[in-house]
Amino acid sequence: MNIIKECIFPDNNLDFEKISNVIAESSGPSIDLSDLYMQYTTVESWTCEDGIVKSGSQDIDSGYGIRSISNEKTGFAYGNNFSFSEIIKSAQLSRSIVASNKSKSINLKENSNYKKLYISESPLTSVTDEDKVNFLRGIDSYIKGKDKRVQQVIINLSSSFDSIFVANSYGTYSFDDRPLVRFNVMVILKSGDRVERGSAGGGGRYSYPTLINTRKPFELADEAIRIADVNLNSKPCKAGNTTVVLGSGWPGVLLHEAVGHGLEGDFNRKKTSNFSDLIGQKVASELCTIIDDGTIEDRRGSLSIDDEGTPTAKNVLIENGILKGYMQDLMNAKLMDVKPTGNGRRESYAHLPMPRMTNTYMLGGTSNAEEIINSVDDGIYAVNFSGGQVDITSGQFVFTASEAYRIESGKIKNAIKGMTLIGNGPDVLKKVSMVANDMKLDDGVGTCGKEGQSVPVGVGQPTLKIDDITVGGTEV
Amino acid sequence: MPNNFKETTKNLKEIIDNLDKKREYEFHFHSADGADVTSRFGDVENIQYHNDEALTVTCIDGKRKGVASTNNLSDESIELTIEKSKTIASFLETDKHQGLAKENLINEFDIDCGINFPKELSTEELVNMTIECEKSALDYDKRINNSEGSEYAYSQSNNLILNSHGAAGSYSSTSYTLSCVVIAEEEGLKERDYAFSTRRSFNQIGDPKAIGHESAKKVISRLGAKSISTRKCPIILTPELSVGLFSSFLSAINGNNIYKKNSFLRDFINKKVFSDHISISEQPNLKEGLGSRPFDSEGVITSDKLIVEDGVLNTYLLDTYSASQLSLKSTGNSGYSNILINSTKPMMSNLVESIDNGIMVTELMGSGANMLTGDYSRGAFGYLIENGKISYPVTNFTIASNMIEMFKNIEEIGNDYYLNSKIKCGSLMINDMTVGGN
Repeated sequence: MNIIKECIFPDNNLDFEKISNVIAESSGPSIDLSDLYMQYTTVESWTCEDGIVKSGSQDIDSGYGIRSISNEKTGFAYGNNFSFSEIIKSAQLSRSIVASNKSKSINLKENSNYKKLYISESPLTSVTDEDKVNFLRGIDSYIKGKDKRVQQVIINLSSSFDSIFVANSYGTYSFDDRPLVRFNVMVILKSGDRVERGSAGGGGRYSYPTLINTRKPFELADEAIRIADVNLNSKPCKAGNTTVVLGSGWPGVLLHEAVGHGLEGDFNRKKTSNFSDLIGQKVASELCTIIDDGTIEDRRGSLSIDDEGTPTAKNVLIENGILKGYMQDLMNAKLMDVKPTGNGRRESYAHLPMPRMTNTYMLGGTSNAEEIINSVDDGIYAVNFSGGQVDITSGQFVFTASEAYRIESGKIKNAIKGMTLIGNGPDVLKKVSMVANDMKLDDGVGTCGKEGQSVPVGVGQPTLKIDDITVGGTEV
Repeated sequence: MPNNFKETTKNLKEIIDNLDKKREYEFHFHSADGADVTSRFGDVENIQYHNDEALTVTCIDGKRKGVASTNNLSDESIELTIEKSKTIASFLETDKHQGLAKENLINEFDIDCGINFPKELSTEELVNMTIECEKSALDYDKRINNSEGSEYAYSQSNNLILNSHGAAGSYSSTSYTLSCVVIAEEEGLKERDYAFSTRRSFNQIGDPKAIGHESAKKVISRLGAKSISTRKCPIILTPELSVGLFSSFLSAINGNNIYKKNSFLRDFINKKVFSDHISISEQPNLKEGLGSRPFDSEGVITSDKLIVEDGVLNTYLLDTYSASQLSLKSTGNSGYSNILINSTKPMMSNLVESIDNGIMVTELMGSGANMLTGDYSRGAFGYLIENGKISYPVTNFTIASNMIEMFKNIEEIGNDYYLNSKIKCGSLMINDMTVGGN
C-alpha cells in the first residue's frame, strides 16, 4: 500500500492538479528540470542482548523535497508539512536559484512502464511483535547452546517500509513501495587471554517470513561463530607487497570502492574521477567484466524505479577490461548528453539525488577457486572485509579484512589479523590475473556512504587473484 | 529561541505532565533549520534550505523500554508515538537495568551556554563568500585545474529534554562552516585535498581567502608522491588525525562498550593507558565550544571532569543504563562534550624537528581500528621526514600497531591545536609504528 497515495494525498487535500501546480511553480523557462519527491518511511528495530530482548524502536519520518535544476545549478528545499501552501512556498524557494518566471502549466502522466521487483506490503506488520521477540530469543539460545566460549551475543532484527512518490517537469509521476529487512548477529568468543568478534548478517526487499521462517538466520549465526573462532587463532600479518586471492561474494566491496565510485556520473562530468574521459579505453585486465544491476528481484540494492522515477537497469560498466559507461542520474545524464541509467538515488526527501550504485558485481571467469589458491606460492587469501574507502580523484582505496589467511605453496595456512589492503583502483584491476567461475552476490548487508548520504547496496564477485598489492600489518 | 520552539516546549511539557504515573516517560525534541550553499568555478552550484524536527518518546514500563519517534508534531501524531512506545515496551522482556535518569537533573529552559549566535545572512552574501574562498584556491597555482567547489553551511538548532522524574531543560545553538575542495594535476596524476573552518559564531569563521589558500597549499604539496619501503619508525599524526585517534579512545571507554565487553580498554579502569605526561579532561561549558552543552541527552547536568590523569584512566563515560550495568553512577555522558588533550611536557610547535627518520601522516583511510582487540591497520598518505625536515610526499602505504601500544607510545603532543572539532588536540608523535609499503 502506498501511504502517500492512500493517506498523505487525501489527508492534505492534495490531487494531481495541485501537484502539477507545484511542479509549474518550481519550473520555468530557464529551468531544465524540477521535481517533487514525497516520502513516508517507517523503520523498526529489535535487539536481543545478554539473552534479553531489551530494546525496540519505531521511527516514522515523512516529508517532501523540491528541486529546480538550471544547467549545473540546483535549488533545493524540503519540509515535513504536506499542506499545499507550504509545498508551494518550498517550490518558490527552490526556483529562486535562478531569476525565472514560473511555468504556465504541466500535464502529468503516470509512468507505469516498469517491472515491480518486490512486494508492496510493509514488512513491519508481516509478523506480530511477539513473533519477532520469540525469533530473536530462539537464535540467542541456539548460539549459546552451540559454543561454551561465547561471551556476548547481540542480535538485531530490523525492517523498513518506504512509500515514495515522485513527479517532475518532464510530465511524469510514479509511486513505489519499498520493503527492506535486515538481520544481524554479532558474537564475542573468549579463549584464554584472547577475545575476538565474529559477525554475519543478511536481508533483502521482502517481508519477515521470507527470512525468519528459513534456515538462513541459523546459518548466519553459525557463520558469526566460525569467524570469531578463526580469529581467535589468528596471527599478526606481515606488511609489504604480495599476491592476494579474494574470496567470492562480499569481497566484491573491492569493486564497489576501487571502481564503482569512480564510475559515478557526477564525478566524471566534473572530471574529478580517476576514470574521467576513459570511455572505450582499457582500464582493467580483460578478465574483468563489471556490471551494476538494479533489477535483481528482492535484492537489498535493487529498485523498481530510482528516486527520480527512472526504471533501473542492468548497466555494463566495464566489459572485458574496456570502460563502457558511467552510472547516471537525470541531471548528469543531461549535462553529459547521455541516457539516464536508473542510478539517481537519495537517502531521503531531505537529500538531493545523485548517481549511486545499486548491486555492483564482477562476472565469473573460467578458472576454479581451488586452482587459483594452488597457483599462489606465497600470498594471502582474504574472505571477509569489514569496510573500505576510496579517494575517487587519485583512485587510492583501502579496505580492512575481518577474515584472512596466509597461503603457502598453494595451500591455505593460518588465519591472520589486522590486515589492510591498499592500492589504486585502475592499477589493481589491471593486475587481476585469474577469475573463477563461482560468482556470488553478498547476503544483503551493504550500506554505501557518499557525501553524507547512506543508501542500501549489493556487491558480488567470483574468487579472483590480484598479483602484487600492498598489504598492511604489524610485522615487518 | 524561535517562537515555535517555545510553543512546542510548552505543549510537550503539558502532555508529559498529564501522562500516567505507572510508567516512566522521556521526550527528546530536536529542531534545526539552516541553509547550505555551494559554488564551483565562480558560480553558484547548489542552494539548499533545511528545516528538520523530530520527537523521540521513550517509555519504560516495568523495566521494559520502548522507543518511538516521529517528525510530525501534530497532537494526533504525538499521541500515536506515545502509544507506539508503550506497545513496544509491552512486548519486550524485563531488564533490571532499564530506567530513566533520576539524579542531577536539569531544570531550566532556554539556557544560554554561549553557543547560540544567530545571524541573518542573505543568500547573496553566502554565495560571495564561497566564490571568494574558491577563487583564492584556484589562483594559488596553475596546477590546480579542477575543483569540487566551496561550500558554506549554516544551521541553528534547538534541543529539549523532558522526563517524568522532573528533567526539564532546553538550549539553542548555531554552527557555521566554510570549506573548499580543490584538485591539482601533474604529469597526469591527480590529487585532491580540502580545508575547512567550523565555528559557533559567524565572526570566528575566519577569512574565506585563508581557507581557500590552505586547501590549495595542501593539494599542491601532495603532488609527486612516491611509494615507500616497509619499516618501523616514529610517525606524526596531524591534529585532525589525532582527533580521530582520541575519538576511538572515547568510544573504547564508553560505558555501553565496557559492559558489553566490546572494548580493548574493558580492564583498564585506574590503570595506565597513556604515558605519564598525558591528561584528558572534559569541559562541557566552554564559551563557543563545538561540544558545549548544559546537560547530556538524558537531561543529566554536565560538569568538568578529569578522564585521564598522569596517563591513568580515572573514569568510564557512563549514561544511566551503562552505569546501572556496571553498578556505578551516571557521569552525565550520554554522549560527550568538549574534550581537551594535555601534556605536562613542553608542547612544541614543530614536532618534525625532533625526528631523524619517520613519517608525518596527513590522511588516513579505511575502517581498520578494531574496538574489541585494539588492532589498528589503516591506509595512509603523508610526508617522509629525514633529519628533522619534511623530505617528500609518500603514498600507498599503511600504518599498523595496536591502540594499547599506540596510546603508550605517544611521546610528544604539539601545541598546534585543532579548532574544528569538539576534541581539542595538537599533533601527536607516536613511536614504533609499522609502516607497510613495497
